[in-house]
Amino acid sequence: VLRGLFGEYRAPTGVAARPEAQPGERTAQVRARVHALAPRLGRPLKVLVGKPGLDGHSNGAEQIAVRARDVGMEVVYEGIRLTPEQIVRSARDEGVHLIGLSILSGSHGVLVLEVLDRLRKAGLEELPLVVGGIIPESDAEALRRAGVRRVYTPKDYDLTRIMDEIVDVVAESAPAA
Amino acid sequence: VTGAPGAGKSTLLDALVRRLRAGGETVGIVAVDPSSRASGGALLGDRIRLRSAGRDAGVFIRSMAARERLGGLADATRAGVTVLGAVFDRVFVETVGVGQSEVEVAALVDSLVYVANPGAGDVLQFMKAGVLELPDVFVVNKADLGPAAQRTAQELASGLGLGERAGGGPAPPVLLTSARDGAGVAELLAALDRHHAQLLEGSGLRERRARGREGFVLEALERRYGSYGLARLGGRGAVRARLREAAEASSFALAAELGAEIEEALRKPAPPSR
Repeated sequence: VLRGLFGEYRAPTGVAARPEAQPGERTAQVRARVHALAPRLGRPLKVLVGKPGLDGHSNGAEQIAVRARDVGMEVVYEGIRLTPEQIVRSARDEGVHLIGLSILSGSHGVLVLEVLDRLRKAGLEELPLVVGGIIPESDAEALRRAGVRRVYTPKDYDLTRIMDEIVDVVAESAPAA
Repeated sequence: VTGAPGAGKSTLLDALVRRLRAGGETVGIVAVDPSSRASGGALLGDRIRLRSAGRDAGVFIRSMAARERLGGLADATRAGVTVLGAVFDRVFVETVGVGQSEVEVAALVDSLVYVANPGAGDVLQFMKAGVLELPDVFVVNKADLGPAAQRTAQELASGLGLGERAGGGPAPPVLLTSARDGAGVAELLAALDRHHAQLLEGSGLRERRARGREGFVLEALERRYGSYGLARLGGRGAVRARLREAAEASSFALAAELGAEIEEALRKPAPPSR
């Protein structure tokens, strides 16, 4: 059989090689900002990365998680196929400073609104939420109006810039030093 | 619960938690992962496999980055374990470890479980890594892989028959588990209960916790004030003796109290050196 000759294809899972060569200087700058924020937060910046809903395309979320680690954040990576309930529960129990959700299934409307709603009910309405996915601009606008702090799409391939903005978002919500 | 990365600690712990929850016990978990030396960041991935906490208020998980500490614990781990212990029936600490680094973990917990991978090595390798000395229960996970798991269990068991153990006493059990199909999970729980019962029989539990407490306070003081500061209280031996006297006080209060004493002593001129 062909498989015997050519081997078997294994679909890639997990984090692939970096899609972009990361310029060391910018990484170092963001890392310095992350470290500088720690005294104000009382501990290092901690974020939750997870994928609500049913799509299993984990690569984007994992790229983000690894990048966040590389700029000095403590990243709770929760994996795929989570319910909004699980996400809010984890954010509360883990004491994170920001939640990042990745949704590529198109159901961002329902899922994100439910996460926001549950955050409010848990008394965590101040906890900033950012979302990434295949999200049309009109939907993105609606999400931002609902309280999502940043929305990212495949156009935002500069992960270091995303990390820089995450620091902005957390700095805006953190108590002044 | 300690062991090499990928040995199945989280998955096994998840299976344990499900069983405990079925029996009505509540569970708190502190999951410690190492921090990156290069960036200071950390990827805390244990929640991916510890799925039992989803909507169950009887399970609480907190992930911690070890930060600048080696040895598998974070600064806040003892505090976390203490708080969770006041609320939950059982508390687990999960941490990556491959041998001698477990000394601190062993000092924090009542029972130490070491999870090995099938094919992880032969007797000599386990012995040179020092993994045989401290754990109270050994587990070879992924028993569904068959002969490789059984051989590793045999290697561990024969190694345990050879070497000397840190605390003396009988050789600890070596169990085969499969977190995938649930085999051996009940036996692991039974082994943990047996070990706890053994500790309760004599003064084992009290002594173990007292040792852990002494280690924690000494380490905390030494990290902050160095051996120079400790010498101002008369050195490690003197501090140990004082800790044993104040057996009822909390370790955190004692660390703060003794720290204040060191600071006070450091403000005075140094005693003449002999």
